[in-house]
Amino acid sequence: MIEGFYSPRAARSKYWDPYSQTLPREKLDERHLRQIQKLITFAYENAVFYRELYDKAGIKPEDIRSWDDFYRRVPFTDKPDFMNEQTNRPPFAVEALPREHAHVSLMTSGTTGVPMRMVYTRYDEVAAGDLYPTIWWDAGIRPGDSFYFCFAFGPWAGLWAAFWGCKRFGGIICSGSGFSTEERIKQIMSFRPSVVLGTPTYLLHMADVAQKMGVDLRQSGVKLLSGGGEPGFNIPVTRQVLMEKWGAKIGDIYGLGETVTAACECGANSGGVHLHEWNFHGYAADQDTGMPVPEGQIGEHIITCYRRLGQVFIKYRTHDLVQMQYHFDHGCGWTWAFLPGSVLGRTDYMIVIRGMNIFPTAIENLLGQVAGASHHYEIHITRVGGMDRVAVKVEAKEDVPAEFRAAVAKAATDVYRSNISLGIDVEVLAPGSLPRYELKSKRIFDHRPPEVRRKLER
Amino acid sequence: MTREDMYNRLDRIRRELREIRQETDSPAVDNCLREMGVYLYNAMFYLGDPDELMPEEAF
Repeated sequence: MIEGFYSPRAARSKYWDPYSQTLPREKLDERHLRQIQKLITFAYENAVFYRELYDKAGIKPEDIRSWDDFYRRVPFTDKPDFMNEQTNRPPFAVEALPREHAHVSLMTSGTTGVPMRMVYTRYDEVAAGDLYPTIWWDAGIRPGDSFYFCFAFGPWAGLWAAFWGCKRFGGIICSGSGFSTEERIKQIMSFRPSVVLGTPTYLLHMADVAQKMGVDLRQSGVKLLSGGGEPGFNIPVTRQVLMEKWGAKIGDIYGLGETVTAACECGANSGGVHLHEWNFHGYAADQDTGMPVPEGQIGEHIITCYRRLGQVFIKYRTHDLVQMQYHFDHGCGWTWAFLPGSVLGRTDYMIVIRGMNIFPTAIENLLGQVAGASHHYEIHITRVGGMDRVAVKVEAKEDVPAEFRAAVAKAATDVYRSNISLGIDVEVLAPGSLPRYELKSKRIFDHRPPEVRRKLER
Repeated sequence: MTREDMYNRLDRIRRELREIRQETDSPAVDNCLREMGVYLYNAMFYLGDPDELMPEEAF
């Protein structure tokens, strides 16, 4: 008997995985501690890096019995540790399984020099694809819907994970690899996919190109824009522009190149993402003490990944600044921790001016209030006389005459001064002056001396 | 175990999988069982000559 792709009871489910997505907080936390204990034991027994790290710290897996043990005694790990390992024990850092289990090798962008190589086992691949179906199911996407990948199938992990998820989920996969933006737009208009996957910057760029081609993407039938790689999907002004230009909902994903997708948006349009607590443990840490900050306060996101076992990440410093909420009600019914605004900034790009913490995401969002300013911008950070300074270069919208650009710059300066009490130099450029990117856009240029910045590209 | 025994045991597992699929309310669980059904059929294909032209899980 031919059935639907999903059996009838499952097909009626509100959630992709009703058990894990609605498990009460105390049960989630109990499970986290068990998973952490199992993972530490696995890492100690299988990865030389962790055995050496924990021996040096004077701990054995059986010593980690409580949250206090985990937070206070287990050392952090960081990207430079993995880069050192990659150099010392090539080709893959912190490999934990025999090589015959290795299945897919991907890389970080390597814009700071040497890319970090990632290796995925077959199980890692299945697990990495887990998160996307969670978001798609909540957004009402079902087998029979179709997915268009604005993605060159290069070594960037984020959209590979979406591809893996799609293979499991069911649905028609259409690759936009090897095509120009114009060709992709034509394909989208004729193929009419339900979901388009890409980075927010590239999807904005597609909207601009479509406009020049005389194509209205709102007529494409696209229901959902999904993907990530940048914070734009949850920056209100960028999100709004994308929704208007595509006529589609947004399904944001937050992840790291190293560990892949870690958090995703529910269907409640809640302005943030949920940590995938079945695959990850995460907490917001005080950068000085390393201990969890109180719920709702901003801290550095520290993650432990249970289902990335080709390489193991335990108490890994993401350098992403997040707020974690464990008690919220925005109607989705999920119990997984909520991160309002997704990633709020980076520890290495947080700018401190006269004691105020300024995040680039705030700078981008306020730009949306400036008439005549487009969403194509760069932020330049410099240090003058021991003080951090910020300058913004932004393209004018197409319909702004050249003689009005100075007025747009002044308006932007005024918006920044009145909203964040910060003097920001704004330069308004001609449309099309700044580079466009298919994957992660480079919008922040940190010109400060190396000792006051961290060069961590993901 | 004979080749025929293996075939019959796999067929039994597959029928059990189908029963569980009918009962689960989780698309995530159903999805995994569906994949298993495809691979079980594939193993049966190598061992014998299934009546079905293709696994119904693959539709």
